[in-house]
Amino acid sequence: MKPLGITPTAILDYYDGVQIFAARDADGGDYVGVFVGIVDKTDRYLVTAARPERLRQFLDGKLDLLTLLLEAPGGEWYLTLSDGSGGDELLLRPQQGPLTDHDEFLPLPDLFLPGGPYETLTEQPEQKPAPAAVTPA
Amino acid sequence: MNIYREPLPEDCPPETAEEIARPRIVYRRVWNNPPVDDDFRSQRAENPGKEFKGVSECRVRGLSVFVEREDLEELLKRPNFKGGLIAQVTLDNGAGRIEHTSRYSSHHTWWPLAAYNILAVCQVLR
Repeated sequence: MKPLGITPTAILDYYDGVQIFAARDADGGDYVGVFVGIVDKTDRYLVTAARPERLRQFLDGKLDLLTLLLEAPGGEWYLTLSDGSGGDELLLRPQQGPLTDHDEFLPLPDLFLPGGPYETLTEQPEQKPAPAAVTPA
Repeated sequence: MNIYREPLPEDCPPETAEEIARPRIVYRRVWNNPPVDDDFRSQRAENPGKEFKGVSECRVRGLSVFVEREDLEELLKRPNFKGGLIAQVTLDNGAGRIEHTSRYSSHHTWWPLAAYNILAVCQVLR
């Protein structure tokens, strides 16, 4: 089975590296990734899917990171390494057992983002003006 | 010619980075009290295999600092920083270059000069 890949779309928090990022999969699903440490001299991230409305609340500074992570659909969570092996994609490795058993990967409660603006990594499609109405001759 | 603490790519630090000429205080997360040299290693020195879309080589060779202490207090809620300490660092003439690198916080990237004795000008606050 092909590993699930996600492409980072925005850096949400940066300190000595990317701490928190938003990402999308090929089907348009939303994800959030959190730096959890260094493995084999590269960065490891905890990743969970996020419902769009909850991700929006998180981006707006109205939902804390811990709640967002623990609300992941189906309780599914992943780890990934930012070692460049997937090109621009990060390859997700599904993890077993509840995320709550891994306190070492979880932030403290009440970690809110400041509400942006964030560093967007994807090119936004240029807004084309609507075509002018054609008037029948 | 300025010699930086770590080898930097061409055009790094960027021209937009300010040369530090007057005393100022910044805050950095450290693990040791008193701080040691390892508390001031760049991400590239820490993680040679690191790659992340959109993050320049120049940036990964700088050090993250905050101008506002409160921003660093928030940082310590992240999983990898739980248990970290807050150090106050005094930057002065000869410290290198610095640039504000966040649109929503007081995060700055600092490229220290090799001759600047960081350990002599920093202290752990908590």
